[in-house]
Amino acid sequence: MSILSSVFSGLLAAVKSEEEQALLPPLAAMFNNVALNPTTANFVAQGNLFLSEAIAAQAKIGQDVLKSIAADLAVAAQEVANQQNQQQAVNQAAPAPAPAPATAAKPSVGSFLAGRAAK
Amino acid sequence: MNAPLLARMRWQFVLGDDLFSEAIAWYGEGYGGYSHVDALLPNGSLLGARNDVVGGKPAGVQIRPPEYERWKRRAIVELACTSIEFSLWQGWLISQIGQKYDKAAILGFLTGKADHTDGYWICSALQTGALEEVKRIPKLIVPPQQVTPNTLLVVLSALGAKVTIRNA
Repeated sequence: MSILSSVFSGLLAAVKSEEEQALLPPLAAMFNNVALNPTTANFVAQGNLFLSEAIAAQAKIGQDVLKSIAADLAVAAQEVANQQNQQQAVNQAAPAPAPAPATAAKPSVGSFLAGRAAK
Repeated sequence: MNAPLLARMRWQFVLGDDLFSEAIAWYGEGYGGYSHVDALLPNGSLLGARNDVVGGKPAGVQIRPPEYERWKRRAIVELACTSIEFSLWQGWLISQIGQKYDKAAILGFLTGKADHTDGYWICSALQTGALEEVKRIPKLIVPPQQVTPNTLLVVLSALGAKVTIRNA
């Protein structure tokens, strides 16, 4: 989860001025929600929710801060996508599991008949 | 990537209430067309490229308030996507805020020449560029600046987007 810590650092750095601190409550909510369910999928979803809050606050925080936040989250989403693609490639490249051991072989018709004939 | 489709990219296609808009809507479609498209963000605001000062925002790529203008007709278009695709799509669109309107591309439609200024956008080119950027569509046979709102709507419907027509 090194992506998360670097993104959180970037987001905190973006929120500096008094106006921008309007974003601190939704940012804290994002931290908490990701901590409760620390999966990459939840991180991306929470990031999208946070970006919606930033868009709504654009008049306060300004265009440059909004673009900075969106860029941080997009970079993180791209890294998550890359990791998922790599994992999928690894899964596809892995050898197929060995077949289950065969159950006791049934006697062939020939051996059955041979056995009968010997009696 | 086989991630579940949890999010939706959304657009608002509109027919403006003036003769120039009617001409754009007619171009290439004949009738029933649209003159402008914006990305519809989750909070209802609209991110798009315009050549006029409207909605309290300058020309070019901006986030404008819902209902920033009166329209004759509109269609809401929704395309299911993964959360990651949504994040990349929205992030790329926001990265374009402040870019200028591509007047040369409009002139190119009229003169039949491939005029275009790099980094500038007409409304439908911006949205086409976003879809290409997140690889939701391949590079089309024509460049983004040659894609009209009507063409983009056909592309989206071919992708399985849900289209809801609203008479404004």
